[in-house]
Amino acid sequence: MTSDLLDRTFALNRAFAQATTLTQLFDSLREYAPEPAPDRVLLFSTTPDDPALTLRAAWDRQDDLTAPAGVRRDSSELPAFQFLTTNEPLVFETPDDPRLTNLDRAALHSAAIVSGLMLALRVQGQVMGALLIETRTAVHFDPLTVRFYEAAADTLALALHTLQNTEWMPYLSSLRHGVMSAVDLAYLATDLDGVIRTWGAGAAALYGYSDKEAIGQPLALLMRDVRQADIVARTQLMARVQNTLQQASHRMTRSGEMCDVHVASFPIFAAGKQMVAVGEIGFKMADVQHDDALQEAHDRLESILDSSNDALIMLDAEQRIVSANMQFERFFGASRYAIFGQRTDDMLLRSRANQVFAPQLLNLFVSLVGDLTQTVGGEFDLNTPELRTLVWYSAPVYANDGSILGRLFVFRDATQERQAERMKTDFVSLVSHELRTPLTSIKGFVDLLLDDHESGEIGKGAREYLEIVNFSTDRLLTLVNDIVDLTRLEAGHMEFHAQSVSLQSLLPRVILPLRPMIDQKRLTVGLEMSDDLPPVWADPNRLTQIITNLVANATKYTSPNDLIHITAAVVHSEDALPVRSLSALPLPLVVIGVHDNGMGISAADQPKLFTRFYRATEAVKQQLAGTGLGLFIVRSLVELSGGQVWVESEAGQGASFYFTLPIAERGLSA
Amino acid sequence: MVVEDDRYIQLLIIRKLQSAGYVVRASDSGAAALALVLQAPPQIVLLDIMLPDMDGLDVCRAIKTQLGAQSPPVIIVSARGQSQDVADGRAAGADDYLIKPFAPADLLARVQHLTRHT
Repeated sequence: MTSDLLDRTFALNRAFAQATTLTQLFDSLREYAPEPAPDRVLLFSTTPDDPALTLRAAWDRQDDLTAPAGVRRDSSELPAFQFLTTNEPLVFETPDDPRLTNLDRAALHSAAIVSGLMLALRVQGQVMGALLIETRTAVHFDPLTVRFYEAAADTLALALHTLQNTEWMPYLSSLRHGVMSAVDLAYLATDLDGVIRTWGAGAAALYGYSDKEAIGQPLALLMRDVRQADIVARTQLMARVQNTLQQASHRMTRSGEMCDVHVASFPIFAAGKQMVAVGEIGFKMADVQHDDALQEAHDRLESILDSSNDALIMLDAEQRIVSANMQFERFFGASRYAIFGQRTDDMLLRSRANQVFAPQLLNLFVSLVGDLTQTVGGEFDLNTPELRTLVWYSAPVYANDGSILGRLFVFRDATQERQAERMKTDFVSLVSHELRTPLTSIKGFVDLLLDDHESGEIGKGAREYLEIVNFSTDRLLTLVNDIVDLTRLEAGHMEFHAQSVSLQSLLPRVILPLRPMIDQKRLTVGLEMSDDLPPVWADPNRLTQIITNLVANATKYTSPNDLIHITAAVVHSEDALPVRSLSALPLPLVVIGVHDNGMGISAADQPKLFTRFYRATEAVKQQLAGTGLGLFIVRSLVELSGGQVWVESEAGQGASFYFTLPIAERGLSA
Repeated sequence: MVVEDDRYIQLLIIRKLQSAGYVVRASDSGAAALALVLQAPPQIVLLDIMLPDMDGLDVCRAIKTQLGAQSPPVIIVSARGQSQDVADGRAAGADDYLIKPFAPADLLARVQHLTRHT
């Protein structure tokens, strides 16, 4: 087409798109008609019920007459329209053209028409009327000009069809071949069953099927990669939202080629607001992105994202889903192409129809998308398509120029980790039960044997050996208990019931069961408590565990006949804090110390002392029994109680272990 | 009545109680023990939780609800030692809760304490 003809086609299509009446369509056609300028334009309609032709609109340059719509002209003035039975438009350059009937020739001669163009107006093969473009001078209509009128005729035919069949809204018909064919958009419409009912020239060009091949076929059948379920879902969605929906999709063309298209779908309503069809306009993504290098970079980035083990989804600042990777499709069981371009807040509104995301997840998207700064995260369980525990985090994404691009959400599959953790916890609690059961009978029967009263006299040697069995069983039991505690602490399952605890009454009671061990080494244990010592806020069982562990340690690493001191004092002011790092803790607090004058701990060992399985170099060297769990458990329990633990020591100079506890009044008020 | 599925622990408890002059019956089945207890209530019931056929806590609840005021004292003897476990035992109606491993002397003292009045 020449550029003038192209401009006129565009202009006409724009005018058609805005026209809502037949008269407006007709006037637009007249206005944008190309050279050779017509001297007369006539538009006729016909119906299956009334085969006679009715003049719907007319214009004549001579008297600038516009015939009132709906006036039936005298049959003698009308052409015979034999051409209506052929598909080709009839172009004549003399009123005596042999293809015209006698009636036609008479009518043309009486109006002094010399040449012209007669076009049938058809909708899906059915004749709706005719369009006549006539001149009073002999002119030649070249094929391109004929095509201009053909395109216009399509729209006019639909308009006539609309007037006959009220189920189509008037604007749709003008929309159809108007805007669509003008900019080469692939326009098509399906009925509620997904069967193609309208197939535009753009659709034919893009997908490779002619309208004859496409119309009447289910869209899903024609484009083999489109699922019927998706088409049905789209129709249902359209009925619900009654709005245009944009999404990225991919379609298979006739040649079997995959084609990325951007599809805008919209509902088509009959009079009375009842939806009768779904229209879609598609355009090829490649048309948008001509830059090969850019495309390559984009493809490469997509491949990288697709190879990630984590699911990624990116929302832009308007909550639209702009990117999602392959793993995302796996985790959420949704095609990314089905959700591209959708707004998460829209999805939330119709979440009942949308099974892609659980409402909790959509809520997450919606609540976070306005947050431009924070990186947040969490964990949740997904039920469909399969049970999965996902650990997620979300961070805002900024462009190089500092503008906000949106928010990235990353989901990591933690199902197996959680399962393993659960199995470990279950296993340890099972093992602990299974170990305690035989230990119960070993300890019990050794007890019975050692009780002279019940087993009768046993030899001195046998008694000594039994004491060793007893002692070793106790150690084994301690180990089992430590491992169970460790597992509970790691899993966050440690029981903790804080209450007001009086150290004056608790400390002597804690030491009592340790007596045999202390006495065996002939140690002296001193207890120093300040008079103003307030009750502390702690779980008495855990506090007992802390102190027992520390005193047992002191006993183990001290020489016979040595001294162990236990101190407890209240600290009211920041200046009196023994360690600066404590300033973060609320005052007043209680500091409890366990002091020994044993082998001490080297400066190198001190920082690692409270980590699990760590044992002081000197203790290992001297082959002292231990698991390296005790102080880790102490630290965990102290922290659970809201305190801190630390050690002051020098190698060979004894050691002081301190820990803090909140006082009860503070604990109660907190 | 001793309800315990580990035969050595069962034997340990029997021996310790016999040495103090008690007449001891024993069972490794919760259902069988429950039937025996309901038929002829003993002086005291020592009850494990993890039994092969029943949850010991259910056995305890059944004894307490069906015998009411005539119910013998029940001591739960279990390897489950969390304070929540002890609270569950108490809620099921147990009169005492002993954590394994236990000192036989401790067990005897508790039994004697609870049987003194009956």
